Amino acid sequence: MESEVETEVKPKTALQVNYRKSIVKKLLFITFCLVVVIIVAGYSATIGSYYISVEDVYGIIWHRITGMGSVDPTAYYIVTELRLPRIAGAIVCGFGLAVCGAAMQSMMKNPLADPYTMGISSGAGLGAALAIILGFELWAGAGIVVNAFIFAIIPAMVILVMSQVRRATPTMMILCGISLMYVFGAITSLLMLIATPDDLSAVYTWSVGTMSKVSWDNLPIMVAVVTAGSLYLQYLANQLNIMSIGDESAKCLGVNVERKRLVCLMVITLVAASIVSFTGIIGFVGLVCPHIVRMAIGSDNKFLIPGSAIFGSTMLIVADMIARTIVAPTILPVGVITACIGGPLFMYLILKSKKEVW
Amino acid sequence: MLMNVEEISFNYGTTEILRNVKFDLNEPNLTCIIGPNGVGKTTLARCVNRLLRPKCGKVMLSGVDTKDMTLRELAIHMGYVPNVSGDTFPMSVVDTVLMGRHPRGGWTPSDRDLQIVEDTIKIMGLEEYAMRDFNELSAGQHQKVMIARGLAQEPEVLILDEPTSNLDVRHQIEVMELLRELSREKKILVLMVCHDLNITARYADRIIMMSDGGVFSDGTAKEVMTEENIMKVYGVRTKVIEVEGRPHVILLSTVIK
Repeated sequence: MESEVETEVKPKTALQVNYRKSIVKKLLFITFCLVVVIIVAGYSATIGSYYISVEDVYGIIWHRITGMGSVDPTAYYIVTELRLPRIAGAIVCGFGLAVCGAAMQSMMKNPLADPYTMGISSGAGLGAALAIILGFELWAGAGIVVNAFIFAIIPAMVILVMSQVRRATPTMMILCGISLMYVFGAITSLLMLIATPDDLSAVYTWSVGTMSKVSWDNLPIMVAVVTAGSLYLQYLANQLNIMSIGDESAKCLGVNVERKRLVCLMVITLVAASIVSFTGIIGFVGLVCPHIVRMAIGSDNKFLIPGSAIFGSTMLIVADMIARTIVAPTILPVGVITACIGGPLFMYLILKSKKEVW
Repeated sequence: MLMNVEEISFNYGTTEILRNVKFDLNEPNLTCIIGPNGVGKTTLARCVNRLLRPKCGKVMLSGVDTKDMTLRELAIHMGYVPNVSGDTFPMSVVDTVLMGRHPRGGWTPSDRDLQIVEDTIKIMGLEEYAMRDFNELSAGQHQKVMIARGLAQEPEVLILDEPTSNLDVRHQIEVMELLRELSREKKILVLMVCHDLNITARYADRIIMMSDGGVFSDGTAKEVMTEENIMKVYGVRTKVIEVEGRPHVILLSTVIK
């Protein structure tokens, strides 16, 4: 046996073999999650007051994409117009938030960072509250969405301006984001005081996040921004790895940390803001998915980012399915489900995990 | 490769740390910077590798001002091994050392990259930890991984900030011998900030002794490590004897100034 290995022209060394093997393991995890997403997505589309079988759902999706086969028009309408946008929304939203979370944690060297660390959520919340309560719209007629988006990116802009004066260290950025979060939160609370009960309820509903406003009209924007942002962050995976080991080391390895961090912050903000402004604030996915995936496949961002992305989709699609079914026909806010199920699950994983993960 | 440090001055706020520091490294060997605490050794190392921007003066690499290089270009020529490295997200030793290939590497590591990583891991005697998490290792092992990462960069100038501070005697000696050997073998200019007078005296090809933000004495171990110099710079009374052709410092007592 061993002599055979030796006769090879250039035998791969143990380390090379091990390294490549560990990559295969990581890819397997990602593939597994991907399969789960496809299955759950199909199954999720069968659930609802009107019964449609799993085969019919895939048939309808196939019909929608290729135009082949014949389908029941009622079922077709229900699946493509009512259920699929929601499911697609959950996939895109989970995908984007988890990618942002993974990138944010690496570049901030902080396991507590998530897409909302920079005050994106409270900014969006304020924007939404302004539109709902005061009827103030930055872009007349656009309603909550544009308001939420613009206010969500304000913190990043403030940090960008401040970075001209002071070095943009992770601590500076986080502290800055948190103080803006309090300011936005305070103004929102103030607005709530003068709001009518109906508006109050609307603001509240918006702030817990829902997939019900996702439609074929707004999905393309979300998909475009999330795809572009994720691809860019994936492209930066090596640099994100290097940023996570500290600024000094990173600079000496040729990464212009401060500039790259600002660029990443802008990309993350755009992605998260484009999601938040359509779905409201869905918490927990961005924070927890990267950690769970890190437990499974380690913290190399080349795999962590796609892994978190797919896992985020899985988590949100499952959460949304539960939100629709647990007290049907009432649909619960998906953010409530992600936190209620994700929280205990995450704590369980922390207890169970053998390795020190961070 | 030649490196010229030209008249570097540096202030933290209004406190002057470095004043017109000037030296050239023109042959691949092990050069150590020594001096008492707070004299600016680490600051000097950081000015040289551009982590800090000197108030005035410049660093030339083979005639090119490092200020005109991108960080990536600089990282191809110059490696840096920091003194401490905080805990981060879990990364295997291989992944950590592999980061050293980043300035030269592509998006995915090539077989050559992995080969270099494996070689440096072997040189540093870290084989059995290769797939372990960096965070699980001891402080001494961390230092060795950091040195491995610096070597994986294949730099022409390697700057180390007290690379032996967490190592036991045996590993200190190993690392010093290794660095001296590598400097000759791979033609690397090794510049190292060091604290231990005897380790320095034993292994350094050249010693730059700093005092009061400037170069106090610069030369071979025999020229620099004298009772008089140590007295002036550290305020410590010593006896310097010769062991195997190298000066050896025996500490006697401090001197009340």
